[in-house]
Amino acid sequence: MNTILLTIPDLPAEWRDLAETSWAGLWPEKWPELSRWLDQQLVGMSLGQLVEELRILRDAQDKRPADVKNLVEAGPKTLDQILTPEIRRKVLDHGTSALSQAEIQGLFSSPETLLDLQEDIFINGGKFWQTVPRTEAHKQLAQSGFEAIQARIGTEATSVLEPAQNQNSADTPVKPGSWKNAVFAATVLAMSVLVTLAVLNPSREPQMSGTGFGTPGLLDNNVDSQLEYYQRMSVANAEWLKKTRKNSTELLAALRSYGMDCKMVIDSEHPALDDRNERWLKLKCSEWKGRIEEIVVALESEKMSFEDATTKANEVVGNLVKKLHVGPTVQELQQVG
Amino acid sequence: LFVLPKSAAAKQTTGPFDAMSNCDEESDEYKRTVEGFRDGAPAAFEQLWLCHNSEVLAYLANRPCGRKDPVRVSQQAWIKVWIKRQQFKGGCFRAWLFTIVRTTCIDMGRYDSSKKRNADTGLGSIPEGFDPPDRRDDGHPLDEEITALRECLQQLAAMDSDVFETFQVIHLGDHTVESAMEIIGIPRATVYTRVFRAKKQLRACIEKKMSQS
Repeated sequence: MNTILLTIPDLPAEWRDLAETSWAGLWPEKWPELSRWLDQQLVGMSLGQLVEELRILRDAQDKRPADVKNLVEAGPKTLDQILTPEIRRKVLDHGTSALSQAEIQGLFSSPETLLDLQEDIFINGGKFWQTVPRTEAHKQLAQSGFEAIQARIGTEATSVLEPAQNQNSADTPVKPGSWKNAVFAATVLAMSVLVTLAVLNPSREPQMSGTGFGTPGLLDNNVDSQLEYYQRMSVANAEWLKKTRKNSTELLAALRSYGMDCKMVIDSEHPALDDRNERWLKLKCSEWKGRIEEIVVALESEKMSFEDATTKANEVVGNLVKKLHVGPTVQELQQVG
Repeated sequence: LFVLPKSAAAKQTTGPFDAMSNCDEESDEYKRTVEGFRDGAPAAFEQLWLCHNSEVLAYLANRPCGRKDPVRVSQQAWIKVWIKRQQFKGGCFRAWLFTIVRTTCIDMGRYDSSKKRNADTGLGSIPEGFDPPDRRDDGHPLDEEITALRECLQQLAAMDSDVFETFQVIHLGDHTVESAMEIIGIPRATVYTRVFRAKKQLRACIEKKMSQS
């Protein structure tokens, strides 16, 4: 049986034993189980059913004798009539424990307002609402089905929405003499060089610096998504940024190590990524490595001061951290595809 | 282009990286994710889906337009979110998201209604093949239970009006009735007992009706 109305928490046992006279309202002053229960209903999948049930409970009074019916206040209220803006803000920030008995009863007797409150919570609710437990079934449902969206977007995004980019896909012949042709050729050439290097030097054991791209375990295929793979790299490089280099010597050593770590990423296989993502990562690493090497050269030849080199290096790695956090765009994947 | 080998959604929130920790809207990570989404990064889109799909589903499951098949409507809404990503001009992502979810739900509800109406009136209908396989075209499974609740409440009101009245007032509130009960002098323990009895009787009644049906 799934009747939500019957799952409203029972009245607290101690309330029953209180004195029988001079009670200000029918509800107990403290009923924390009720607000916890209501919080869960408000973020849950069954609120609509509860609204329907409360409506039935409210309307069932019409079947009662006229004298009793007349006692009951008629007419549903709006959310604004039941909750003042201040109280509503409190609910958005702290949950329904901020509500008085009259306010909860007000919501229950105009149950449609619960749906308005739910929408307000979903749009404007604070962090509190993320901590309210969801049912296992709700969690599982919410965390499944992205593949179906991927599958449909994989077609729609390229064929309908972005036809211009789609024309550049690997399946479409590239027109001779166009700039796209040049990019394509450069990409192929770069990839050929990388592959050749990898083939000529297959058993190389790279020395990792221990930070940035050289963080141990960074390339392990123990992630559940490409997003996680990229973001793990982003976090590792953010750690590299946190370290302070006191002088040019330290900075040079750090940048050289960084360049070697980049090379290791370029030379390695990335089974956690699909082909396009792997190609994108390696090309970006080549690009970042090139920028780091420019700073090394400028610093060595004293064409750049230590401070400027630090700023420049932090800028390169900082941008890299941001880029890895979100991964490649569709266009970028198309370009390497 | 859009293929990610395994969905981040399948991932547990343990290990070196916790996807849900990036759902804090005030964090720089979240802001970067929204920027990345707007720039067209599929991974950022998946991250936002992971952060907000629970609320999207709950919203849809509780509205008439999405109640029958919230998963189907949510998928359509998320596809629209991706398609319209460049129209997002910053500000509150959730507000923008729910604008799309709301309109998608209404549009799909209208579409389904007109389709059903056309089928009912014999004016022609869209072939069944256009429906996703998990689509429910029958009544909602909870409708029977709602009907049972309605009948049982009416039964309780007719047969044990004091119990029904107390149950109704304790939940919906009514100062007139509350005052009346206070004047009559119903003890708290009686209210407590009546609410307990109402629940017990309703539960038994609904179970009986459900088993009969």
